[in-house]
Amino acid sequence: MRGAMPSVRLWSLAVKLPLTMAVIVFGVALVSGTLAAFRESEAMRSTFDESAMQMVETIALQNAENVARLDYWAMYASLKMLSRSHDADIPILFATIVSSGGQVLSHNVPTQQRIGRPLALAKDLPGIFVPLEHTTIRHAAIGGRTVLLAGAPIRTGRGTTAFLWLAYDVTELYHHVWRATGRAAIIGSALAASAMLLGWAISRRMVRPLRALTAAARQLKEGKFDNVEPIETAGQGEIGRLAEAFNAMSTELKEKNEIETKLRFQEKLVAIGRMVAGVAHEVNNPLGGMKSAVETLKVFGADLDKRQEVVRLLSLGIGHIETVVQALRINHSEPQEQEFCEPESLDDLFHLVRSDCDMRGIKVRWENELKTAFPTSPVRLRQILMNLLSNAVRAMPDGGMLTFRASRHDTSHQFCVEDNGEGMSQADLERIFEPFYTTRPNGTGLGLWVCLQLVDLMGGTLEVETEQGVRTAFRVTLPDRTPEQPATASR
Amino acid sequence: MNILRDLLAARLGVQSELRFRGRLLSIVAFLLAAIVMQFPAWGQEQIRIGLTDVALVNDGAQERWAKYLERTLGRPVLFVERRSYADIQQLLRLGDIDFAWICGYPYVIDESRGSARYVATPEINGRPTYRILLIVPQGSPRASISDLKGQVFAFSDPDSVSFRSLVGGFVGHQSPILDLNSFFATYFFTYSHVNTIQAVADGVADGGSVDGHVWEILSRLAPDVTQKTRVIAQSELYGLPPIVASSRVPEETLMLMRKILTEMVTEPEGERILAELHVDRFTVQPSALYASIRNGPAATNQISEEIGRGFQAQ
Repeated sequence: MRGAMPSVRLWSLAVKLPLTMAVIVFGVALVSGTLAAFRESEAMRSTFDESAMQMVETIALQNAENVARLDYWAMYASLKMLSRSHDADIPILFATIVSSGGQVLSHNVPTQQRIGRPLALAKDLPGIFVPLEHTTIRHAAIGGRTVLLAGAPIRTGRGTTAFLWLAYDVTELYHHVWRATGRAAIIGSALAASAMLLGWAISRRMVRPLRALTAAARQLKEGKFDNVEPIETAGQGEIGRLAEAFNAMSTELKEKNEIETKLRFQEKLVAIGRMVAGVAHEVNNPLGGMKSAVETLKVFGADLDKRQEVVRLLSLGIGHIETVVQALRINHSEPQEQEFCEPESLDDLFHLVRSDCDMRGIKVRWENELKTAFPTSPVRLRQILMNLLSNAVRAMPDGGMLTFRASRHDTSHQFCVEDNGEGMSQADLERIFEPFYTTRPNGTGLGLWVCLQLVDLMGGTLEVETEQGVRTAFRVTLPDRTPEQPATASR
Repeated sequence: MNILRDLLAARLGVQSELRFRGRLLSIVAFLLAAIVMQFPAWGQEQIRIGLTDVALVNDGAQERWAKYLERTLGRPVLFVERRSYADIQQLLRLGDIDFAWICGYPYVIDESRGSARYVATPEINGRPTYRILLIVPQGSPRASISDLKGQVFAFSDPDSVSFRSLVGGFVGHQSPILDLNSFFATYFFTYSHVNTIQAVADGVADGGSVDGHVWEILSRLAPDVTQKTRVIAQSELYGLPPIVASSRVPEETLMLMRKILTEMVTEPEGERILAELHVDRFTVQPSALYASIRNGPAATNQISEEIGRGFQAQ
């Protein structure tokens, strides 16, 4: 959308097609109508010019003797008859005989122009009523009318002694082309309206399946597979074939989506089953020891040493169960106030892992590039990083290089923990984030799972890169968060 | 050529354009004469009668009148028309026509020359007399001939009483007009009283002089034309245009024609034809009836006889 009016390119086919058809039909009708009218008008003009010239020559010839005799009555009677008998469509405005001296010898309307006087119009139209050698056609505007003036010399025995002028009002004749163009426009408009209706009907028929396709595609995009009805495939045209292909595709997508939904549900069941089995196993392991400890206590309860040993074992078992339960309990509630993490608080982690590293001969490269506090939960972040650091240390029993890097990026903070231990196999890699999956004999299998849950809560991502026998690197990315825009969790 | 005449003829029943067909008619007359000479059964020589615009006769009336005269005369009759009085006078002098219905002025002139003899005079509205009228367009402010100085003027015929009496100063008792070219800006002849009335009504001319009896008849037949004109002066009474005979016509033929004409009123067919001619009856009047013309317009020699004849200088 650009402004209030959509661009022409964005208009619907149902509008564009009828409009285009209407414009083409209107244009063709107007152009051809105007051309025809123009040609007809030109033909009418030239025919009329010819007949006017013939008429003025004939009347001039008829009046030659009248002029020679100065027979004013015969001249007048001739002009009067002419103006009365002429075609009413192209009326004669006036007919006059003017002597070579410029005096009017006759005029068909004597009350307008007295004989013996100069022609009154000659003053207003200089250069028109000048002596003629031959029959001549001239045009002038008289009283807002377009006037064709046909003039002819009247030759007597003494040469050219007078001139006859016939003035025809050709306004209507010359307006004919405009009237005809107007008619062409009206006919063109009527045809254009019909074309528009036809175009609308055709486009409606054409566009109906396309609209259904658009609606169905939108439903597919929104994942509402059940709302998608098969498109009616009218005819075997391109649109029909498109609709058929779409129907086939939507059916496949629908089936695939159903299968995926089922699979996801089954995966969830499997994961839950695995987790329950893990919890049961983790709880059951110490329970066995604790059960036998309780039996020992029943038999050897009096023995102080035994009792102390049993209590220690029981504590150990309870502690293990507690650890498991604690690890599973993740605080999902958001803190009331915005928390900030000081860069120095991360450096404390270095001191926590340092002794373990020294023991195993692991070198540490600690690169904390952060300078200022940033908004995040420091407790959660330290828990995540501590987990990753511990894993890294454990991955290098025979020494190696542990690298920690905290860095600021455009819209995020990044924390990278890398070791050059054994790395992981593809099979391990696929399962490391599952709860209770561990490669260590005494691991809980919950560390990375917890890390992932926390990173999700914080709206960040946790990525892992590994090369078997070379290295493993975990990268936590926390995007910047504003209070109005809580981040969505993603992996 | 002249649609006005056709229109008037159709409306009025006036056959005024026939004078313009004179040439055609004379050819027809010649052919008819040639045919008649081949048929001795006719026995008698054709009687030819010249008509001018003084007679308001349409084609039908002319034909019926001709048949009436043929029946009563016992001889074939042919009407001959010319545009000007001078042409009819010429035919009369040469004996090419036997009778003519002409204006009083050419009558008194030809009578005095011995080329025309009196036959009969029509009575219109019970009188054998009429007046010459000076007419102007209805809205014209002009009230006399002197007001028309420097204007455009229409006459009927240079040999008519209407022309001679006006320029002679007998219409409205004016002094004679000695030089028409300097008096009027433009003047012209229409060779028909009806045309002269039309020219004034249309505004082609600022004034015109016409026979009063023609104006009166026209005011009954085409009031819309005469209503566009106004009479501002009139002459004394003149004798109505008479029917005259050529000097070559035998006396008995003249007397027979006079008898037939004067007795037309006594029988229904003759009476019907007279009505079509807009005439009450034909009568024989004393020569004194035309004294006012002889002593008036015809006595003035100040007007050139050449005026209105043939070509004019521009």
